[in-house]
Amino acid sequence: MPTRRNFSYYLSRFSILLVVLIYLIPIYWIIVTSLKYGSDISAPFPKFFFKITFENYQKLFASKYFSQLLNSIIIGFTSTILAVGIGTLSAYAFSRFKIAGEDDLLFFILSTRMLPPIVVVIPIYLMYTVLKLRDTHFGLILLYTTFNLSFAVWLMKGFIDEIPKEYEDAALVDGYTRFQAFIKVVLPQASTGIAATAVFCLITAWNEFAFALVLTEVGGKAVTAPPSIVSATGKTGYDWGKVAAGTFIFLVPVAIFTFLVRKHLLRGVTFGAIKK
Amino acid sequence: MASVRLESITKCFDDKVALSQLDLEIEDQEFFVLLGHTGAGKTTTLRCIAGLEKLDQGDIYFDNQPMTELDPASRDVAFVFQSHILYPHLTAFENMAFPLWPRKLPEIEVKRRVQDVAEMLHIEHLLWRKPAQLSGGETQRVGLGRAMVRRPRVFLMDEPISNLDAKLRAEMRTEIKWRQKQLGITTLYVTHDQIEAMSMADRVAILDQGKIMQIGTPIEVYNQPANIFVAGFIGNPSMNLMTCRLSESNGEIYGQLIGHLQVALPETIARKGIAREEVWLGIHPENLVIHPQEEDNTIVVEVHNYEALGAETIVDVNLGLDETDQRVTMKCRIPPDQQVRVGQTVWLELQACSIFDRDTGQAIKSV
Repeated sequence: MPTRRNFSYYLSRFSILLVVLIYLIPIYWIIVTSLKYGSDISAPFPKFFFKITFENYQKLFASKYFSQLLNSIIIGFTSTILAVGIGTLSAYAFSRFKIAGEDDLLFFILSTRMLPPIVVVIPIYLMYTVLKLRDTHFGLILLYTTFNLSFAVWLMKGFIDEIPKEYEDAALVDGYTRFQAFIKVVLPQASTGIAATAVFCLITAWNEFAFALVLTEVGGKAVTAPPSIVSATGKTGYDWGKVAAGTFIFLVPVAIFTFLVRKHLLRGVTFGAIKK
Repeated sequence: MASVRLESITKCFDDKVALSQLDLEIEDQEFFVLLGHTGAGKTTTLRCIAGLEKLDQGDIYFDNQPMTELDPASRDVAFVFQSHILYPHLTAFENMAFPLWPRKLPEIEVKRRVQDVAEMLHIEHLLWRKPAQLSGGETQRVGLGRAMVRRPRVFLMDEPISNLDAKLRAEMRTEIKWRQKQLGITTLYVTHDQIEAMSMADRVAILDQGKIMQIGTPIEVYNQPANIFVAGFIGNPSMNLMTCRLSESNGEIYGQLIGHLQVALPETIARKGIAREEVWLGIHPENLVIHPQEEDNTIVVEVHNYEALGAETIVDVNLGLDETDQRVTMKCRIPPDQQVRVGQTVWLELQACSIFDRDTGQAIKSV
């Protein structure tokens, strides 16, 4: 029997390794491409051994890419903080108070997610032009916050529903105001949910492409990383080395953030599947 | 410390009436128990007193000061909940200090008060643990400590020990009652367990469907239940209740139980009911005596089952079938040295009983 168990053990480990490798191929491809010379990149047969160069990264440093990455960081994180903050407060209200037409309101909030965002890109473009919000940080932050809010409200409501009401009642009786009770009692216990919601919101805002492309000017001041990578055209078509280098650097901040909150994330994605 | 007065308070949830026109007066330093089944309105009463629920009607006073419009924070009460007593993200010390923080006491005073109470409850060694590392009894102790550090005007306890096992519950009963007497803080204690009510209360109020059925000392509600609801609730086992027809012959008053079975009733009791044809008869199990032979004023019954509990034996006797062919049984409490066996024919003597109105279920007190 032990041999059989060993066999299945190795088989499962091998399968996991295989799947992970398959998933990591694009990442590998990006990393090696970013380290290759242009001629190696466009070689008809992929070169596995090549001369390493950092010229692609140097080109990036010379371009506006890092200021655009900074835009991504500012817009992504600000909209995430806003969406999670407002979402948590409204989820708390939905969870704890009697609200007239609560179900309808919640459905309405969710329904904003039912339309593919691309459908509204033209109306929003026109609105933003009139409001002079095009190519501004504020405009994109507002948009991403709005998109993420419905998601944040629904997810956070689930988490807050799980926190027993007695905790706040006790705090109220002990001399705290409702808001103090929220800060001191509800928030610490909702931290897992907040982290999970924040990861999802950040990834959505971070990766958003269509609006970022349409609502900013080429080379404008609020361009985020995703449209900037696409616009990395050289004189002879796409400069794939620069694209790969930009993409790799683009992955790093969100990977670090996800790594930092990974424990909460696991609980977040399995939310509802596991009952305490 | 304060006396608490509720004046015809009414509370509805949507269309359901949780409390209707409830009047209650709790004296200063009293240990007052609210007893009732689930959904009787006990917890709602506590939550109204704490200010966690808004009243639909009526007023609440502490020492004649109106409380009705005050928010929970200004009422100076401490609430001990049934579950979720401690904040899981704080240590036992922080949990106990939690009610003191909004009072802006100096840090050293907070520490001193928590230490004092912890010493009193013998939980000093637990102070740095998180709630997850505490057992059920320890959690309850810390929860009690949390209520005590504040020295509130009123303690409100909502089934604080019903999640504990039986042995621990008995320990905590004694502990809570003793602490309450020591601190002299007016306490309202909610429970569905009549043993808790009987063993701890100075006075007890029995609630049913948002109405008070009876208020009195444990002995009063046991010996003189105001209605058949209280009679059927208090005592373990509770009173035997059955309808019976009254008749008079040869100057004696008889209660006709089922069929031809009739029993002579103590005259002082029966006189009150003679004006009515039919009454509810309530008999405490200890007021039924089992004789192995026929004696005066006994009825013949059969032993259906018995539980030898050690200090006493509870015997179920079978009286026969009623008009609807249901078996009619009564519970008797007999001394442990008296032997019975299942199926045995015995003679039952009734020593005392209460009677209640057939229609209203209220105790009949005078003619």
